[in-house]
Amino acid sequence: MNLNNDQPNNVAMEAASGATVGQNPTPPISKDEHEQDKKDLTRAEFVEEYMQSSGADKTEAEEMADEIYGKA
Amino acid sequence: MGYLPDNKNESRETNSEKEINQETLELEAAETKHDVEQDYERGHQIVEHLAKQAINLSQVRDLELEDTKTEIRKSESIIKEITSDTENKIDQESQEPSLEHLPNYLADSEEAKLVEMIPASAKVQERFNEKISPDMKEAIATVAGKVFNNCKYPYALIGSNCYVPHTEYSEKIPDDLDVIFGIKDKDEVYAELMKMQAEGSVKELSMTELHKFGKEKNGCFKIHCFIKTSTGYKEMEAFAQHMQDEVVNEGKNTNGVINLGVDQQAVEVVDVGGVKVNIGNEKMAEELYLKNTINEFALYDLNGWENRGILNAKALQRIFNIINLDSQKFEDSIELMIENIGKIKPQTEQAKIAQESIKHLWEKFKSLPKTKDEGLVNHLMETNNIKLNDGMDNHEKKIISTEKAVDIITAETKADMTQMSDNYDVLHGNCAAVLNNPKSSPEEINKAIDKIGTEVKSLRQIDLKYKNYLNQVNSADKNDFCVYAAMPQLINNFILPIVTRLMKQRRDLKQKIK
Repeated sequence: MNLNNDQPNNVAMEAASGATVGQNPTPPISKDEHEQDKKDLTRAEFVEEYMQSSGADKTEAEEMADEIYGKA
Repeated sequence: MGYLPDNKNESRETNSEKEINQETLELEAAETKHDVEQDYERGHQIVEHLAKQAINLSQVRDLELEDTKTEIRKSESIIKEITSDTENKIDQESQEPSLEHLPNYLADSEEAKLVEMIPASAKVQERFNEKISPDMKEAIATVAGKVFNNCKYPYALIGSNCYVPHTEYSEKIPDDLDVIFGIKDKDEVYAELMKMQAEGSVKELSMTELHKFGKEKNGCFKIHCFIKTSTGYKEMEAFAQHMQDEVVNEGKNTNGVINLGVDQQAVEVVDVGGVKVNIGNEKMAEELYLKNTINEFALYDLNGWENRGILNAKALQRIFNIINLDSQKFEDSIELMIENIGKIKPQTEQAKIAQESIKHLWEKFKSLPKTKDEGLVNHLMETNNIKLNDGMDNHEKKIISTEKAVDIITAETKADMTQMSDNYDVLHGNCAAVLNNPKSSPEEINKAIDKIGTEVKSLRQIDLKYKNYLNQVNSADKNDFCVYAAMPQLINNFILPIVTRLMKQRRDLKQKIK
């Protein structure tokens, strides 16, 4: 168990004055970047690309789009 | 009733009378039939009504019985707690606190005055004996006896070696050793460990100063090494941290999860094969996990991942550990745990974010369906083919199942998050290179599109797996929260943004080929 924080870029450190979280995966895309991606790629484009690449049908692709863009 | 004719009277009647009475009889028979049918219908309705009442009564009684059972369980738990506390107090007060195992201890120092030294209760000692593995006990006795018992200032074992003795039901076997001690003992501790390394009882010894935010040094030194035992080595991390003098007199920051000798604390002294060793008390264990939870859930913030840094799959284990401590009431303590996060000092912005984040997840969890199904914890036990030992009561079964399910989902989410993150980094770099190169050939572009397809198919499978898990959650089983809590963030912070980005790149690649 890692108890002290020696990880870079961990803002949570201030919270517990030095608690640690160990080697853990970082979300690779920030919230701002994701919001920008949503602006760059329309919902319709997403549905089309997702159906073509993932093997999902239209209903599933639309459900995925709902999660990303909100309910249509 | 009583409409049927009297046979004896009928036999005495004449034929003509019979003919005359035949119509009467038919009329009477019709009326009687009608009356009987009405009576039957009324009777049927009454029976149906009574049956419904009986069912309702039975359901109400079942509910009342369940409520009574819950109340009894709560009362039992309170009685158990009071009895246990009383036994512990009697037990601990009957023993004089001894500092004999700490020959160099400065008992009059400000730090020592802030750390109460209590002999471990019989219960904690017994659990330590039973639950800590022999080789771990050997490593603890070696390093405490040769190094930490020579400290001038307070030290304590924290982490799983401190947690396990403070809980009734856990099958956790601590596999590493965590120690906190005072910064003023750092040089002596390190020198002694170097000596042990030269003798061959320690290997891979190192000491590093930790950094705040990966930049500024924070004054906490981590000593890392492996302690030799008769069967192998045990990993140790020991943290030399600021104490009263540094924090109060020199105005330095507290630089550990728990800084011994800064605030009022208590450590318990256990006997490990004849060597006395300090371990944190239950309150310290709770504080440790609450602070860890704050750290980890502050990153799971409500707005997504503004503070993206390190998302720790172990966050789930912290929640489980807190509610499974002796003084807690397991699943009925989740709300108390959320409340207690708000009481941790200092109350930082992160603590508030963490509290909001868990509260939000808890509310979301409670809004999920209450089903008659077994729930996610049991689903994970079944699909991983984990069987529990016979002889456990339902309460113990529930705790051990949750502990195992939390371990499963922690490992699974960590592996999936790592895989998604690593694959994305490689794929994104590759696609960007193809996109940005004006000379990329159609073959190269198609190859990049194919790679995106492979990754998206894999992401879809991961997404479906977690959605299936979410469908298994039974919010009537509050312990399901311990395994549920990681999933919304995994989907929202990893799967959805990565899929969106890859779809954007796929579209751009297709446009480039035109």
